[in-house]
Amino acid sequence: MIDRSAVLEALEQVSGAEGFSEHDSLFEDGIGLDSMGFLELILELEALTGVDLRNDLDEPAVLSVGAFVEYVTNHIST
Amino acid sequence: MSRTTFPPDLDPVVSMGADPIHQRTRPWPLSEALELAATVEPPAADPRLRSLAIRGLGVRRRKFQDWYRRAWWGWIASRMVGGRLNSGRSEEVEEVVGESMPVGSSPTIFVGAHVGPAGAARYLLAQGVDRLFCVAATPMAVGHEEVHNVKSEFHRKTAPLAMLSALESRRSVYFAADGRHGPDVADARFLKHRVTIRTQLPQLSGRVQIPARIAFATWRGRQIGLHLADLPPIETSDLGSSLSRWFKSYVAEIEAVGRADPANLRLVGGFWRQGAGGVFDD
Repeated sequence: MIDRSAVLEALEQVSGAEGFSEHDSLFEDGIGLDSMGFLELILELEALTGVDLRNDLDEPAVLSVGAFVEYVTNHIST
Repeated sequence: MSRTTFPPDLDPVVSMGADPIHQRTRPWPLSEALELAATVEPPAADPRLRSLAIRGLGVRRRKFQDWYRRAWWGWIASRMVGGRLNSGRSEEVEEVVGESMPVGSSPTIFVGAHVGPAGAARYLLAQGVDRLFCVAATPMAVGHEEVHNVKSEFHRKTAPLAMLSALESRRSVYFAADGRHGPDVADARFLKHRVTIRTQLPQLSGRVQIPARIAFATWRGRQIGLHLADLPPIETSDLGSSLSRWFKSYVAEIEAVGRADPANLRLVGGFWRQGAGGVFDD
């Protein structure tokens, strides 16, 4: 089981960004992921958790780092 | 510079009833409309297009008018085909499809571009590929394919993920790479103009180790065929050089189909919206 900090660590690893807040955007205007970077992030988290994170992915889930962490942790716990 | 508009006498042929004024006009069958369009005198050529033809494609000055007539026909013909595919009249398009090439059954990354008749590559692939997954900015009623419609930033950001999922479930994917400026693009040169290419497809090709294939619909006279060509594999151990080779091959293929027949240039969308400039209205 992984927690919020593990999701944030994966985000750091894939994006190369440091010191970001949960209000930051995941993408170019925030921690800097492009669409392939986002793909790598999902694959990394799926490998870590063994959970499919693609099927329910929607716009609110990627609005910010915090929303994305929430989405992932909710998925893992269900 | 002002943009070229359709001559009024040709408008009913092209508009497909989209214009309320012309809704009363019964649209011409595609094969007849294509013939008619070839008889209409084009408006004066835009100087930018003349320069592109002569300097970028090596068209001889004395041959330019013939070249331009064919390029202009291609522009109109593209709209005619796209209009019919959009309005569910694909049976008319089927009548002008020449012999199609087999496209295979294993999952493939098909790379499109804004060349040839609009929407026709998707249409032809959907006929020849068992389960086609398209990523496109505009949905088209061509049927037999699934579409990831990139209607928002969210859809743009998740397009590679959607394509990966499609490939994992043994579907083939199709996406046009001659994209506009944005974060997921690389610089290239098209007809000596600076343009950008979407980088997701070659990166995805490297990620899943499935080589990508060009899939363009092209004109053969007044018939449509599918032009397929292999793009270089992406070697993740030498990503920079691999991507560079891939981009060059992609642009070279677009220029080649345009050189072979100017009707294939289409003159709108893709690179024409970028450095080459929009000579005609979309």
